[in-house]
Amino acid sequence: MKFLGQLLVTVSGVSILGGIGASLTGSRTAKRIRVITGLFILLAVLEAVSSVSPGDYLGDFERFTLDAEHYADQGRALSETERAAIISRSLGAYIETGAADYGLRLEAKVDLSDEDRCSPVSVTLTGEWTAEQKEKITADIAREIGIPKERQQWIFRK
Amino acid sequence: MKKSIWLFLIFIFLVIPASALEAPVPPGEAAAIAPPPTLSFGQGLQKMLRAIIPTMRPDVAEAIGVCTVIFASAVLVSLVGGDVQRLSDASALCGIGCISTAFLSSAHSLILLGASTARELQEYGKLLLPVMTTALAATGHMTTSAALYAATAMFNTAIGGFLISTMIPMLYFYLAVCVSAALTGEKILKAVKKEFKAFLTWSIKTVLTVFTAYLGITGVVSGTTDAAALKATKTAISAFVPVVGGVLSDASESVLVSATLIKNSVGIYGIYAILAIFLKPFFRICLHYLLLRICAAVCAMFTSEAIGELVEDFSSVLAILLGLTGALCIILFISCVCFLRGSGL
Repeated sequence: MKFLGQLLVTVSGVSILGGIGASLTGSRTAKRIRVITGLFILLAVLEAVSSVSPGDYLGDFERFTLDAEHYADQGRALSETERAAIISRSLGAYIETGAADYGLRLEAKVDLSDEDRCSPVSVTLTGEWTAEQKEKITADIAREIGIPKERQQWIFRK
Repeated sequence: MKKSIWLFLIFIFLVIPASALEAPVPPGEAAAIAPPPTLSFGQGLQKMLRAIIPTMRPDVAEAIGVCTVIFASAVLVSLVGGDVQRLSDASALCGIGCISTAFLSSAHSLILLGASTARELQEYGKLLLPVMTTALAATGHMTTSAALYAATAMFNTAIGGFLISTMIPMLYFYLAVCVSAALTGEKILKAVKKEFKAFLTWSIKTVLTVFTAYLGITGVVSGTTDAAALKATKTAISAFVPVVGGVLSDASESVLVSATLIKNSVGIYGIYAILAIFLKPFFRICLHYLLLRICAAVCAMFTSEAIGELVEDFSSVLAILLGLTGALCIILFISCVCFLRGSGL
């Protein structure tokens, strides 16, 4: 922007001086002043145009693109975090409801994969149970949620 | 029963992200004028106009005062001049001096007002755009949000910088060229004045055209990319076991609903805030401009050509100022609408 400001200031400054000079002098001198003013304006325009470097503007655009990607990533991370929280709690609630059907009061905490943050990888179950109830629920979790027996941690608490 | 428990759980989770993203509050008195996003656009605009219009009385008096001085000077010049050439020239010079003094004192404050409005819009845009980008990206429009941000931030910075660092000093030079041209009647000054005005009008039109064209292309390209990404996510969801797939689908849906709600709320408040910053200065400059145009039309009927042209040039300075400040506001406005729609133009 600087070059444009300098160019416009130069052009208008030279024009004002040239115009006033031409109006104050006789017709022959006025003609010369007009020619000199015109040449000055031409030089100012050429000098300004030659000094423009497109790299400066591209650099700015690159910065805005990087910022844009950063903010978009923030948005994606925000929605992923919210989605992961909902999935984890919803699956936990699903397991607890299923356990209640067997007459159990369990607390289930489902952990999600770090890669896609939506597939369940392990579960921690806390509460009281009998061996038969545990077997049934373990099988249900493996079949319906896809968490195998070895990644189900059972913590017995009265 | 099960369904209602699930719904209850989902609605509890809907509340969570609302605290994460909030629209920035506009600076100064605009914060008091900006209506809440719950109002409809018509109601919001009405509320802002009700708050702004009563405060315009001093501006009306000032604009009428300036126009009265200009009109009186023009009448005096045409009365004193008569048929004597020397007397006519001297009175014209005095008239131009009086008119220029009367206009320049109010023009200075209007130009500064235009500059401060542009600065406020630019700064507010810098705060609002990241929030809008994040909110739109949270709804799954990653490519569109990034493209919209890059374009808007670049144009906002470019036009804001152009207005503040180049245009404001140049408007004073333009005024000087107009007064010099009126005083001397030199062709070269008239030509420079004409070219200068043409250049500025062309710049504003070109920037807005390029901006809207860019957003139009972005709408097509990034919209397609986002749609493909969304389809890929849906395909991935269907590959899960039924229970997990269902939960994942519900979770994605509820995150999308809450993110859309936030995005809309931020966007609508952003539009109101931009209007609250822009409307009062716009009305002030517009009022001076309109009265000056009427004054120029009346003066042109009975005064010398130089004076009529000078008053018209002065009104064109205000038109340029309105155009540049308006362009900055329109860019932010269009951008907010695009963010709200989740696509380019």
